[in-house]
Amino acid sequence: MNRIASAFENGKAFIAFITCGDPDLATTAACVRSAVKGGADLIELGIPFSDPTAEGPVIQAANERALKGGVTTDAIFDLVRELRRDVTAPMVFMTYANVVYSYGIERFCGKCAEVGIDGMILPDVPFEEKEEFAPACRERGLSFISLVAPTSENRVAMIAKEAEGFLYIVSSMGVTGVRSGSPAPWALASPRRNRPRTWPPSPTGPSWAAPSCA
Amino acid sequence: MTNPNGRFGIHGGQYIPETLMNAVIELEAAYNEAKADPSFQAELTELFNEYAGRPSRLYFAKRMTADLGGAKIYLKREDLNHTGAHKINNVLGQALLARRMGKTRLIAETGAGQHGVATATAAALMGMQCVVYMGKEDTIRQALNVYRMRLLGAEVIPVETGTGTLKDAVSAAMREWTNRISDTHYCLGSVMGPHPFPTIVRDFQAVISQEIKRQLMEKEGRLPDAVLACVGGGSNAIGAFYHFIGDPSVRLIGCEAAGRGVDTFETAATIATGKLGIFHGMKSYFCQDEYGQIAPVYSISAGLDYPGIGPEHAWLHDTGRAEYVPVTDDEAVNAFEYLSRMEGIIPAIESAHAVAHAMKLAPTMGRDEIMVVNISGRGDKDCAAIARYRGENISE
Repeated sequence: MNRIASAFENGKAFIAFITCGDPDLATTAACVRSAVKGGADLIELGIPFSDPTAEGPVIQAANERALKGGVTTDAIFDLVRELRRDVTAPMVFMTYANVVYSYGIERFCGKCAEVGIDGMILPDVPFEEKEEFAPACRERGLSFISLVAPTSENRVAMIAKEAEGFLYIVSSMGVTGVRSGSPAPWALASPRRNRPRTWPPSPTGPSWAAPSCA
Repeated sequence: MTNPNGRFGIHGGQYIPETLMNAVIELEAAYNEAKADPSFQAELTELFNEYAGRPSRLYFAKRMTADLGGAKIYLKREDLNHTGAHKINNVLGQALLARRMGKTRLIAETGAGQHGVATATAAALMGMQCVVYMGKEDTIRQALNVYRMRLLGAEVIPVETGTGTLKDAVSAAMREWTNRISDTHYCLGSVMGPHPFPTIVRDFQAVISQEIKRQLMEKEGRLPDAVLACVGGGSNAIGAFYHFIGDPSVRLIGCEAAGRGVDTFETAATIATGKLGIFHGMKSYFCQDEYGQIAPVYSISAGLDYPGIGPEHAWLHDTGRAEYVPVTDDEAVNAFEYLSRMEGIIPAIESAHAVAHAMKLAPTMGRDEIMVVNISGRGDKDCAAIARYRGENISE
């Protein structure tokens, strides 16, 4: 069983999200270890992007601080390699298509596997575009994690059928951290009808708030 | 040129959050239906002609031609359209489409403010709500257009994130669209973003080259030898190029904003300095660093101050069908002043980039050759900024 599957062994799992390099990588390392110690079952590591179009003001600001601090994709790979010496919880990257694409999809996936990353979430790569990224992930044993949204409706079954690792349910409209007042109608109101019944497991997100380290 | 999965060669695609997928699928279906509906086309043509003042003139620039001593220069006068730029062509089409889809609210991004003004205008005309996202920096550079949008009943939201320019306005409008889809149409202003936007906007702007072809045939009885247009996202350029793509004798030349020069960081010339990437819903060329972080680009022209280029242009570049050349701030400002004095036409600073290249190219061409320069907009909005560039402090 891979690390992501183990994290969902008990049915429910708590996922912590941390923007790498906000404000520096030493803080990120401390946050990851604290989160695991505090009971997080899976860690989502955000690789900052200059223009995070799916994020609300809080994570936008975190991305901006991290990039100002000089963090790079290579430095984040080094961080993960270092964390893997003692962290056994699954870790997945959350970033944008261009961060992976510009690094080279094959090269990025190779690096992920080498340092101990378990999968990736790219919010600007929908089902229709995933074949550009998913095969390289599969080849290296990484899960390319799919998302479903409140507006997905007729698309849920199609997406769930090919989902890997876990299925990411975007629980409300809009960007991260901002509650628009309209809950995900199908996800909340009729889980039995619409939710995929089998693997993969489906955490509900984005329920993240400020990626601060207590 | 349009292919079913929204690709132009390897460019284009739909790199957007899942939240928006059904919205773009619905938009594509509605557009294909409208495109095939003669009543939609008739209503659009009526609006083009009676409201926007089309067809725009193809004007023979006699003094400029004589002064440069080469090719015969014709100016396509998109600056004479209602609201003062080519932007109205696309906006009238999209507003009609939005109404047909039952949407009551338009949102838009704007750089120089021309697309925002056009969207606010169409919203007023059709009794729709309108919200325009504009970079904070641009609200200062183009204060007059902010007032025009408000006068037309639109709400203007200054965007302070990132560099406070066009790319940030696009990001903000995309975020708002993910937040509110049911009653809202995102009226994208250029041939960029996820499929089907590059195709829809291209189709509505293609009226420019359709007219040039017919008008030049009437005046000269032949095709032009070169068509020049400025390129940011590239909507006026694709409009001016489109009906000539299949005519290999016509050189198609896109003029990019080089800012302070392509060898500096203060540039927005994507083809000259960018590399392949994925951003704002599309695969295309983008100004970015080695890790794929989008560059904070610069141009004196708020409308060309964008780190990417539309996917169809990227493909025309790949295939060599169109050429893309960089034009600096200095060259554009000189051209702005030159056309004002030479022909009594004050071009938008965006369009002045195309005029600047025309000034270099025309003398190298024969007197029997014909060049068409697309004057995509008028320059009234730029007068205060250009005066400041020349060290004069005037208040608007």
